[in-house]
Amino acid sequence: MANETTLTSLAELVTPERLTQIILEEHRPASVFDLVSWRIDVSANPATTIVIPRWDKSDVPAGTKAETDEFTNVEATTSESTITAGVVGLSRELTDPAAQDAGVRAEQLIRMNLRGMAERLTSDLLALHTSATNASDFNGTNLDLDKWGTATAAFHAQYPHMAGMARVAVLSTNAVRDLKKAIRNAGGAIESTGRGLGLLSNVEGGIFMFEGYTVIESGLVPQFDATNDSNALMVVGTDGDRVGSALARGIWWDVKHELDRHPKKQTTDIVTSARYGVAISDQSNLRELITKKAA
Amino acid sequence: MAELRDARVNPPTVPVVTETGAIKDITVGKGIGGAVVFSGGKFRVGEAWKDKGWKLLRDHYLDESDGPGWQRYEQYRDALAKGQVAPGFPDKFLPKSVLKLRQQNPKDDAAKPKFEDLVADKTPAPKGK
Repeated sequence: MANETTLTSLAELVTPERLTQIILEEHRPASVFDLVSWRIDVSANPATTIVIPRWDKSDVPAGTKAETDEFTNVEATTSESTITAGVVGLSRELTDPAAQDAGVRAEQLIRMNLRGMAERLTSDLLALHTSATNASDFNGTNLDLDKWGTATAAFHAQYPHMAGMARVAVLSTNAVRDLKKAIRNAGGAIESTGRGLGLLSNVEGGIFMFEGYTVIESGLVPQFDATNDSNALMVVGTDGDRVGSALARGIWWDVKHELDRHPKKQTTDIVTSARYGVAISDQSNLRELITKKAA
Repeated sequence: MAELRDARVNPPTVPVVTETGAIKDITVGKGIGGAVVFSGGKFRVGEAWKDKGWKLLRDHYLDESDGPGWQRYEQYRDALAKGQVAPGFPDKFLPKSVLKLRQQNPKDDAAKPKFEDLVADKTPAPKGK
């Protein structure tokens, strides 16, 4: 056969490539800042720092009062945590030819900025794990059920404000891998109770319940050092006037987007910013859990 | 230090020694109220953590007049970040004060001395009748 009409014959008519109408999102760790922290909005009453006071524990003196004695005064004292503001943001400059020929709109870049800011806030919050003054240090060893039990018991011995609050474990992907392994190896007993089943089907950024803890797997858990992760057990939540959350984020201004037009350059700046600070609001409501990275 | 808050890069981490001699990386950035703050052109441990006994690893080296030791640790961190070396800094290159803290705070009871061993040499022998 000869003289077939092929792609080569119609080369001028063939569209070399066709883009889908949808641009796939970039890959990034899930942003879980809202699940692990207490939001303090100071946008209406700004100051450079936010102070979070708390009562120190003072006890009833031992013994009993003799009939003719007076009670000894017990001083009431407070401690505090502070949050200092920082401005976080990024700017992108989009040229008009790029916007026109690529069909990219400012709002697409704004959405991407928003996702980036959410990741950054999560990362800043979880970075506080390493500043916890209470720690279960299993560096050099992998998380297993015994270590989980030891760490949660030690956490409870700190008397964190758990009543009416959520108990949360923020674990690295490595730690979840090891906990899954421990559950699988534990065999029928643990699975028949359903305790570990949620964990086994979990994904990064996902949430599951395990022994009364809401476990969040996050790729943004910081490192303790080069070979170990700094996971955390913490209290999260509020109950009426009580606040249990170990981590706090002070918001001076929430994420905002501004467009700045440059007619002489024929470009547009897309600026996204937020003014916030993060801190440990109560060390007793937080416990670092140090475990080995490698399997 | 505007780069501390550049959203495109991660904030720096600073090695800190805890009261038990553990060395941990603390993330430092304006707005991050962690154990280490950056002010006046240098890093320092926050007051609450200082009271617990936390101290910059750099200060442990410098207190022992071991500037080259600190440079060696920085060299290790740099090489590690570039993937040029395996993780693990040799104990023999750590400041003596850090090793002492670790010795004083073993992680499990098995590594601690028994009370009888501590007092054995100091308790006077019972007087004979």
